[in-house]
This record gives sequence, structure tokens and C-alpha cells, in this order.
Amino acid sequence: MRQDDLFLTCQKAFQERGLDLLLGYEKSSSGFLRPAVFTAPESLERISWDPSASLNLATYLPRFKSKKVGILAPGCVSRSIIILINEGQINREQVTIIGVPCRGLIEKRKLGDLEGVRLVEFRDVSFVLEKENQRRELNLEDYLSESCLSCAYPAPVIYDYLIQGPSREGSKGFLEKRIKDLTRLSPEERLLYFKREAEKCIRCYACRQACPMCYCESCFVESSEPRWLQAAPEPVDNLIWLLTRVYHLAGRCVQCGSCSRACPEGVDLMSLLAWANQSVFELFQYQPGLKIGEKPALGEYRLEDPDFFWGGGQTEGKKCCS
Amino acid sequence: MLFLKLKRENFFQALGEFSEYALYVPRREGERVLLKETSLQDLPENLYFERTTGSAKEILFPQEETLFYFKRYEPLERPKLEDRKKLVLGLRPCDAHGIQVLEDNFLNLEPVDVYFKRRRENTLLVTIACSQFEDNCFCDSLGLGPDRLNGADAIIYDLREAVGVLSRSAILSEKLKGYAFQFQEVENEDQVEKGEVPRRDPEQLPILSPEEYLALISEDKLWEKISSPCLGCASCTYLCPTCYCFDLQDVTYGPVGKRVRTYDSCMFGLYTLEASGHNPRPTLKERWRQRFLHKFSYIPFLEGILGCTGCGRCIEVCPAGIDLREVIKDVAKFKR
Repeated sequence: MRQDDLFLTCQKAFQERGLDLLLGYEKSSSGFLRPAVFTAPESLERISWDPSASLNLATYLPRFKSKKVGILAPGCVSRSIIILINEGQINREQVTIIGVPCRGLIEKRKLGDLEGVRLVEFRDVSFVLEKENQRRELNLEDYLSESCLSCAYPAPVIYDYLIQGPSREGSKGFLEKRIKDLTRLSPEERLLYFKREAEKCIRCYACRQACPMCYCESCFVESSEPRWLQAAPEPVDNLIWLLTRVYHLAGRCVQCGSCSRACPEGVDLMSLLAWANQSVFELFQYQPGLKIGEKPALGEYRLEDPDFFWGGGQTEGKKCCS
Repeated sequence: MLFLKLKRENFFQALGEFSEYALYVPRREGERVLLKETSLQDLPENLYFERTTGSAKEILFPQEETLFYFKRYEPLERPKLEDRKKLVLGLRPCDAHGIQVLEDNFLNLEPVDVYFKRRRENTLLVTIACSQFEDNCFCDSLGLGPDRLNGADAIIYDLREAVGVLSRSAILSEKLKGYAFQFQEVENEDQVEKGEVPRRDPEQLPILSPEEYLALISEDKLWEKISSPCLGCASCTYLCPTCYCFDLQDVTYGPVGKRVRTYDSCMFGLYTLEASGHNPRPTLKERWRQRFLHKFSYIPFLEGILGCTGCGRCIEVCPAGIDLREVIKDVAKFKR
């Protein structure tokens, strides 16, 4: 992908579509990308796209309902946009999608001690970091987010403009290995694992805010009548928060990993999300965010839907993700 | 203040004098560095501790705290105030600056917060002068420094063979004296031998006066620009060493219950939502204005110290990559 191609295409889109603003990324002082709201075509000189981005930009879209918005979209973002359209949160006409190729996104946490270094450049399969004038070249694949390593659709699914360039190859997309490892544990061990993860949570709701599908104007955690859970980060309330969010996202999550990268405490959010998605896929053969106009799996009733819960139905013997 | 010099081995021996105190130090657990109880034997020889992931405020102002229990038809019952003595070793000078801001709020203003007060009285905070700058930290750009005592009871300096301790706590001074090969009263913390303190050419940040900042309160364009990428989560405020806002909630189980204090964040819409449904800070623009001005105008105005310690945690954790240093520069551009 070429920088001038990105800049010129975005500028063209901005003018041709009469955009009010364009959601993209710019380089921060550390060289890593951060989200930026571009409000004028001239400012687009700063626009940038590489695997150091972290946040799913579609999370900003419901904020700009009355505006004409352009947005940089790799596969996951384009799928989030489709869901937002299907769920009536935004209009297709209002969004101009600038599809970008995606080689996966870096999980900064994996950098460990290297965190806080300056990012110099990306090469074909590697990237270069600098700390105190020492340069180090690292293999990109080793530092990608788990969500990206099992991403089924790295390239944009829909777009109005497309930036050319190589994308990762898609895989099945359910974090298979992780789920297999967790399934091998006994239910007690599994509960213990997620309890431990929940203990880390400080309930800052960065996961919710970074998630394009968490667009509710009032979240269940904020309800005081009834109060579903306490504001204090008690382990049991944390677990309720994490699990309820997963239920709300079952069959709606595109596994972009935005929440997981946003979490300041490194809570394992992806395992449960992928698990819920896999369950929905096995039960309804449904993957979210692939087609405009599609109804969400849990928002539609079909006669042939499995009915194992009541002990009957057409999928006898079939159990949900045993 | 007393400045003491101890041989390294004597310093560790001296810590044995604090047997009635539980020793807390920063310790890595997986991806996070937490304040954990430890034993004297497990202290690292070189006295190097990583910076805690969260801020040190939790040792005095925990994220969750029960203020009292209630039962229908019965008087309120206050929980037993925590009286465990703690020696917290290995925090940074910026952490101690944060504690100072908290003290000004909880102790120096009426009414005094009894819960905080008891904890503070039972805690000895011994910081260690930084041996290096951390990623994204910028205390030196704020005119503070990695070698300041701030709100700590004592600070330790690495003097190679010896350990220098600058103490303003009578208990600490008294107990360490017997182990020191040299000690003297000092007036000013700049008079003491600090060993090698890291220095660099600090990035110049334009810090305005509280009044100048206050004059920018109605600059809507400024606050809109700054807050536009913000997601409205609370990771910055929950990890900030000086953020002390809390919420009170009743946790009830039928006729009994407790009133709990938990962290709250001005970045949440619920923070200012009134019962009528009106919200005086309806968008992120107003919330950012509040967060910024509280730290850079209101706290300096009321307490005489900056409400930012320059620790850089908010920069590190922000999922939208907002850099407070750049915000400081952006704000200064709007100075009238």
C-alpha cells in the first residue's frame, strides 16, 4: 500500500462525496497510529494506515449520525459497518467506506519490555523499533493480535473506494486453538480461569467504549432500577459484566480485537467472544457482518432453528459447543 | 527533615525494625505490576522496582470501600477502621505527588475523611528516586523531578555503596538512626546528596497559570478538538494518581445493606446526570474540559500544586491514543 495512494484516494473521496469528516489514523509521537478525525481535505496529509493501529474506527460512527462520514476500513471495520447498518444505527448513504488492505494489527502488549519504544517503519514481513538509538527488526507475525491471527476476512467486505495492497490470508476465525484448550478443561477449571480474568477488571469500560457494537445510549451497568450489578469491581460483578457483554455480542461480534487491545489490565476478552460466535455459527450457520440487509441471527426466528434447549426440534442430539 | 546515610546491608537490617508493619512493594504478576505484600527476604538487592500499572492511590483510597452497614430499624454501624500498619516501599516520586493531592482533598478540607485519615496514619510511604525515565513519563517537563520527596514520608537515593534516606517521618528517622553511619538535619531537600539522578533535556511544556487556564473555559472549539477522538472510558481517570472522584451506592440485601464508595469518573455521562434527566455535561467536550481544568486550574488554584504528576499512565492506556502532553500544547495555543 502506498502512502500517496491513500492520501489521494481519501482526498478524492472527501471532495467527491462532500464529506463532513473522515475517520482515519495518524502517527503519534511514538510512531504508532492513533485514531484521528479529519475535518478538512488539507489535513489528510497526516492520514496513515499500517499494522500499528489498534481501535476499530466504526466505534465512532453512531456519534456522527447527522453527518456525512468517510472511514478507513479493513475487513473487520467494514463488517462492523454492515452490522451497524443492519441494526439501524447508521445509513449506508451517509458512510463512505475507503477499504484498506490489512496485514493484521500489532498487539502492543506482546511487545513486553519493548513497549514504549519508537516505531520506525514497516517492511514486508517485519517492522523496525528503536529504543535509545538501538534498532531492532521484529517479525510482524509474532506480534499480531490473536484476533488478527484467526481473522476470517482481513480484506474489506464492502467499500466505495479501495486502496490496493496485500492483505493477510483469511482463516476460520474462531480462535480455534484457544477454544480447544479451554474446552479441554473441566467446567470448574474453566470457571476458575474466567474468574481469575475477571478479577483483573477495573470496570473502566474501555472495552465497551472501544467496541463498535456497544452503541447503547444507556448500558445495563448504568441502570439503577433495577440494579443488575454493583458499581464496585467485586469479582462476581466483574464476571457478570464480562459475561453479559459476551451474551449481548453473540453473533454480532466481528472479533476485531478492539476491546481486547483497549483493556488496560489485559483481561482475556477474546476467548469468550469467539466462543459465543462459534456457538451462533454452529447453531444458525450465521456469521455477522457479511451482507447488508441480513437480519441478526438472534433477531430472527426461523422454523428450522435448532431447539435443543427444549429437548426437541430438528437438531436432535446437537449440543451447543460442548 | 533528617538525611541519613546507611551502608547497604545496614539498610536491609534496619527494615527489620519495622516488624509490626506489613511490607508492600511493586511486584510483577503477568502483564501487570501490582502493590503486593512481601517479606524482607524477597526484597531485590539493588532496590529496583518497576512502576505499578495502576496508581499508588489504591493503597490509601481503594477502588471499593464500605463506609457503613445498615439494617432496618437499627442504628448505622461503621466497619472497623483498618488499623493494619503498612510500610510501602518502592513507589516513585510521582506516586508521592499524587498522594499529596489526595491528602489535600481528603485531609486538609472539611470534613476530614476518617477512612483515608486512618489509612494514611498507618502507612509509611517510602519512595525511591527514579534510576531512569519510564516510557511516556514527563514529570521533568512539568517542573517536577524524579528525585523529589513530594508527599512521601521518606525517599531513598542510590549512593552506590550507601543508601541515602531523606525522611520527614519521626518514626522512620528514629528507627533508621541506629543503623546510619551519618545523619544530619536538613532544611531543604536540595541540600542532600542524591547520587546519580537521571537528567535529560526535558520536552518543554507550556504550563499556564490557573487563571489563564480558567479563562479558556468557554473555548468550545478547543475542547471539541481535544475530545474528538476520546471514547469516554475511564481508563485514564482510574489509573490517574490524582483522580479522587467517587460514587456512593447502597448495596442492599432485603432489609440489610451497606453503603459503598467506589471510584467514579468525570469521563462517564452518568457522573453528572441529574435525576430530572438533565445533564450539565452532556458530551465528551464538557467532560474533557472538566478533567483538564480540574488538574491544571482548580487543583493548582485550591491546593497550590499541579493536579498532574507527569507519570504518563493516561498516555499509555488511552485506547484512542490521546497524549496529554500534546493536549497541554494544544490548550496553550488558545491562550489569550
